[in-house]
Amino acid sequence: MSANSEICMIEEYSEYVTRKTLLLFAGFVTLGMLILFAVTVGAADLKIEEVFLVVYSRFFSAKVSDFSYGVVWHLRLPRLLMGVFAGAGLAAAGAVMQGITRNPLVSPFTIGISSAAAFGASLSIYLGAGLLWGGQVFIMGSAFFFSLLCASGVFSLTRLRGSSPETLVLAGIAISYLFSAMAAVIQFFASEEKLMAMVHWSFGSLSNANWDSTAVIALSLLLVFPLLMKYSWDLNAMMFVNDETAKSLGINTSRVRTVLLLLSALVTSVIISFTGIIGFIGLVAPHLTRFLIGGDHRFLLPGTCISGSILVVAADIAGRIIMPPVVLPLGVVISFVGVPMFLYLLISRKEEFWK
Amino acid sequence: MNYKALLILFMIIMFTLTVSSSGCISQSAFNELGEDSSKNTIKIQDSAGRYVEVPQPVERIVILWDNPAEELRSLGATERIVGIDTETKKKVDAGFFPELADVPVVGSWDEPDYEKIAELKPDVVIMLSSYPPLPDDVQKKLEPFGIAVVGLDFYRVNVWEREVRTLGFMLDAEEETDRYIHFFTDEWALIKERTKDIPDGEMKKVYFEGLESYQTYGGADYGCGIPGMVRAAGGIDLFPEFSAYAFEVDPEEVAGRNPDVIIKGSTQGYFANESSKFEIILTEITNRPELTDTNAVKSGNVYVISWDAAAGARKKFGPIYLAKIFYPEKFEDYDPNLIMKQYLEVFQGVEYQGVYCYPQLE
Repeated sequence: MSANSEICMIEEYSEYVTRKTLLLFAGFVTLGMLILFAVTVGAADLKIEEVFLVVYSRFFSAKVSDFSYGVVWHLRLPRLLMGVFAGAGLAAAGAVMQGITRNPLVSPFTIGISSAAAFGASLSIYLGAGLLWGGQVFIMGSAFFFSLLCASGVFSLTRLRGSSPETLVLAGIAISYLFSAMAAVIQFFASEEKLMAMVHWSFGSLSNANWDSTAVIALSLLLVFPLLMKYSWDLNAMMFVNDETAKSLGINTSRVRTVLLLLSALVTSVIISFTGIIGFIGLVAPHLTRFLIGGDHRFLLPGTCISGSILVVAADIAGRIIMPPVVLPLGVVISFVGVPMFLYLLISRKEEFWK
Repeated sequence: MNYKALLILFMIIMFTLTVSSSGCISQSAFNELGEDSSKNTIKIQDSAGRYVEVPQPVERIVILWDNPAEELRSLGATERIVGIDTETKKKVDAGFFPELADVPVVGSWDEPDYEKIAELKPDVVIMLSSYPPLPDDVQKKLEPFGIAVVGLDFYRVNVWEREVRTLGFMLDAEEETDRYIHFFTDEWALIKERTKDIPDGEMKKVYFEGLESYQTYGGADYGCGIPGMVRAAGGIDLFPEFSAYAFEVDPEEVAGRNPDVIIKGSTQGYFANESSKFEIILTEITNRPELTDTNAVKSGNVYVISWDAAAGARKKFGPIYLAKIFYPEKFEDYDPNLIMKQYLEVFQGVEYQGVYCYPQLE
């Protein structure tokens, strides 16, 4: 290779990296502005300046009313930040799942985690948690436990039958149906209050947000994300070639798949234990990001976190301002917000986006 | 590589921010809105078993569903309602609560808008005791604003008296509370007196159907259940062994158990000005081939009852109508519609209208 073409390649590559990094930065700025806007949205009549003064007053002294302080720091910010981290986590988990299965239709819930979590929540509610004793902690713990149980079940199945993408998806579908059926049986015998609690839990919602749960989700994401990034090159390779070729490139495909599966399941389980089942983000945010930033996982993963957060925050704002003071369910609004975006990109893009 | 270093730096910043802000905030004590120490406070126990401190008398009330509105009106306290939910708003728009037309809506029973509630500065929020979000969850959200949260249902007949007394205590309206409670407890006592000696073999077997065909009810224990209402009127529900609250039953099983009385619920009621819709429902049941040989259809003991006389806040009326339906010979002088009229005019301050039972009871 001549020196000239080498330099050309290096330049091109630097340009590529810079471009993608700038895109990420732009996305991050957009998210920042959206958060600033979101914190001013709410039923209480607070002026924008007052809201920012309240935020400022937390770190430096400033005179603000207890009411404004309570509204911003106790009601709005936990909900907002939970949306940011939940959206980021679910989107990242979705991108990873799509990568390891080479399947664009896959989401973090494909391996059955949502059905298992719903079953766990239903079981604990049926046994009296939340309504009679224990409070939300048991419900969340049960949801988390069963979703991890489901993930390890799928994992064991892949060990038995080999961890090809097809095995993962099929095992996930089967286990998902099993847990759904078990949840349905419990719901049949439940009293009306318990049934409402079970159904209410399964609707994705940010209404239960408080600082403790937001912190847990944020921490889990911050711990898992660097690990996901570590495998970004491997994901790039595994997406483009089949397993045999990947192995010849030095990638331990079954180990990578297993680790990423468990990480994705972990972060998803933590999130849905608190928020209930927020669908669609894990499926659509990665695709949206691929349109904008391409399929290189080094940039796709952070980018999809940003787009996931933007989607959830935008949907939450929309759900609260369309018909105040009624709050539209988050899952519904996300579909209305995300699908048009997705269709627009699908139709307007000329090049193939998937690979 | 610069990119990696940036990413790591970013992570560290986010991590530190998260830990420091969340740890501090969850433990920091919010200054509660200056509590008016001159106001008397009392401790009450709500229907979720929680002990709550509320000011007495409560002057500003937010209600998160429609039953409390009706009970508050019976106690003459609707002007104290400063916030209502979407269900109550529907009744306001339909014309049943004209005095609440200017009261703002604070969300729905399952998704209350906490900011709106806080802004109204109520003394207390009255909500359902066992449907999510639970009173404890709502209390957590309203903690920094010093608002008490009380769970009172007003649809469970077995605790209705206690709930109304609690409400009356909060309002400091003992006289009105006594009068109101006696209005119903006297009726229930009368019904019990006249039906207590009916031997088991002669108790009417009742098939109570919901809005969907062959949807019936179990779970007599909760007291909110239809079976409880049937038994309070001296009857026996057709499926006493079932504890599931509402379930679909096999038509042949209903026919096989040969009910003496068939009752079907209908949403028509206060706003019905004629009974044609009731008649359609009635004919549909009596035309069902599998039911034609039952005692109920053969003797013409098929009735359609309005949910305005048998559901929600009106569960307390259920036994009043059912007793007359089951044992007309024991309740010849008894007129459920007259009792409804007195309730609507005296306690609710609205005109008597509507159809509550079809065929009409003599």
